[in-house]
Amino acid sequence: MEFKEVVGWRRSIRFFAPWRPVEREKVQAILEAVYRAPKVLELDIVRCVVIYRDALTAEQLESIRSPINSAQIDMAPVYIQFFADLQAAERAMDGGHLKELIDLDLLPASFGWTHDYVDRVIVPQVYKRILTDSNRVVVGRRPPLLQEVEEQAQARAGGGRTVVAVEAEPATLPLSLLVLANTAVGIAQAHALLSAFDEGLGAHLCGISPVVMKQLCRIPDYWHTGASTMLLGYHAGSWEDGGQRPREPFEEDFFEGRYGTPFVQDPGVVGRLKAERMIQDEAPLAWRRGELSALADMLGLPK
Amino acid sequence: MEFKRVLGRRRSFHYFATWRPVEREKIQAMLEAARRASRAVNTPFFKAVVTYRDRLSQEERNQFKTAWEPTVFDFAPVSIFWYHDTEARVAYVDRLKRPGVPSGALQDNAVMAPLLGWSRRFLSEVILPELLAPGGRSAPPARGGNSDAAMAMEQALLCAYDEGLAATLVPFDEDGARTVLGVPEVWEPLLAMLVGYPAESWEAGGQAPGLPFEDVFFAGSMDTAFERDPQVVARLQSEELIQEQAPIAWRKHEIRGLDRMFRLPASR
Repeated sequence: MEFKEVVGWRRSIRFFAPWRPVEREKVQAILEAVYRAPKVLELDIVRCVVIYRDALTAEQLESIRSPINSAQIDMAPVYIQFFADLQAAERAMDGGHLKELIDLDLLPASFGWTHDYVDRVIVPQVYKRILTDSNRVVVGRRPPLLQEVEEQAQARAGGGRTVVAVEAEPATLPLSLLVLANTAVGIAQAHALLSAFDEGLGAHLCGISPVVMKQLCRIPDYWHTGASTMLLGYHAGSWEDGGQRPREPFEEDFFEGRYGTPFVQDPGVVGRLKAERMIQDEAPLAWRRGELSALADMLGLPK
Repeated sequence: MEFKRVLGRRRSFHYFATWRPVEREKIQAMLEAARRASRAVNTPFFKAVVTYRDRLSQEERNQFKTAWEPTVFDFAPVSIFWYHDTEARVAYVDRLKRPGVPSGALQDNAVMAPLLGWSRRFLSEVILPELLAPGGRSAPPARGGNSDAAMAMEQALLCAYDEGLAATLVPFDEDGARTVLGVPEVWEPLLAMLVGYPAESWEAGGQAPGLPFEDVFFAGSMDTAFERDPQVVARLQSEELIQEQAPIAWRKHEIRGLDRMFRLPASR
């Protein structure tokens, strides 16, 4: 599909065909797209675990549900969980990967890239500063909503239900490292989401308790678990999915030259992007309520 | 351009055609792509300032630079500075007139489907207090980056390639940029996106190597690698997502030629 059309068709799809499996080759294509994402500071940070709904036990499925995502969790056949490997910067401290890129002529010497520059400047001034940033932020502080979910799960345990163990996460992280991790994950998620639609699938990022996901995916402590989960499957409803979501005025988000001077939106460009289907009909669509009613009947959801 | 080709074409470019300006409409197309990115509860976490090299003094450009590829700021005709607005949630909640989640408009318009629980009550009792304004509206802004803002930035970057441009992400100096750009204190820097027409070939030395695929992707749990099917790799090669990997035999000649063209110090 054309790039702009992919961007235009992307929505947060919440209605998946629960009976239709996702071909493994499409999942791999999505992962390959993530594999080609830019690496912030040339660090290999992002990790993904693919989870198949039907491979989970009833207890595991229950553990990842929350009031926000329960129906979607049941409908989507595949979940892709994103993590950030927090040891990536530490492992890069020998400068080995940068030196490899220099030797491959991907980082040109004429732009200052030499082995000596890596050892003398980049490692101590960039990588080491990230790791030793004295400005630390609390992580693992989950929203009360998710805590409630875990409390509910524990309450159920008293009634004989299996409970996913809750492990304490690191209390704080260097701010620079957390920014790096979240940025790298966001870049990867953009590739994954768009690639899903290019493969003819629907997808949606949703929050699942990081503590539960950590346990489920059996990841090490040094993988950061704050990222949302990508739910994946075939659309049960239309690709319009109610229309593109409304946005704030363009000029609130973008500035030209300096903050305070808005980047004024040219309607001629908007017209071109409509023709290229990147900008599509915005919600509300007249027939959406009828579609929702039909979806409720088909999927057995309460109206 | 086909989506997979756009992804496959992306590289970290260094040599921009310094003499060729970037059309403003192409920059707007990139920003429009950013605006269409996924974002939690429809909140705009990103902000961006577009700057033009030729409207900045050398001294101003120097204030953006860090140890990481400082020279590229002098090559690229356009630099876009991407930020995470740490007050986005609270500002969004306060702007109930906007047709978004806080105002209930998305629920009323059946975008956030009521049959999945997105009712007015769910909004007021769960989403607003727990997700959009945790800790109350007076809670301090939370720094630490934001993946949604990064997603928007990346969609803009990919759109640059679709528009026939090259774009590269580099870090920038927070204090220096704040002086030049005058952005609010509550904006947290992400990365600068350097944009222009490439002076080097689209191959730019080939796709960069990374960790083995099976060290990055897993099935079910971290105990099991997601094994790469070579047939899928072949399909993606034919669709140009996967392209020739570095080293490319003629790259050294290309770099020597580029260095002569730009009168840069001789390569090693």
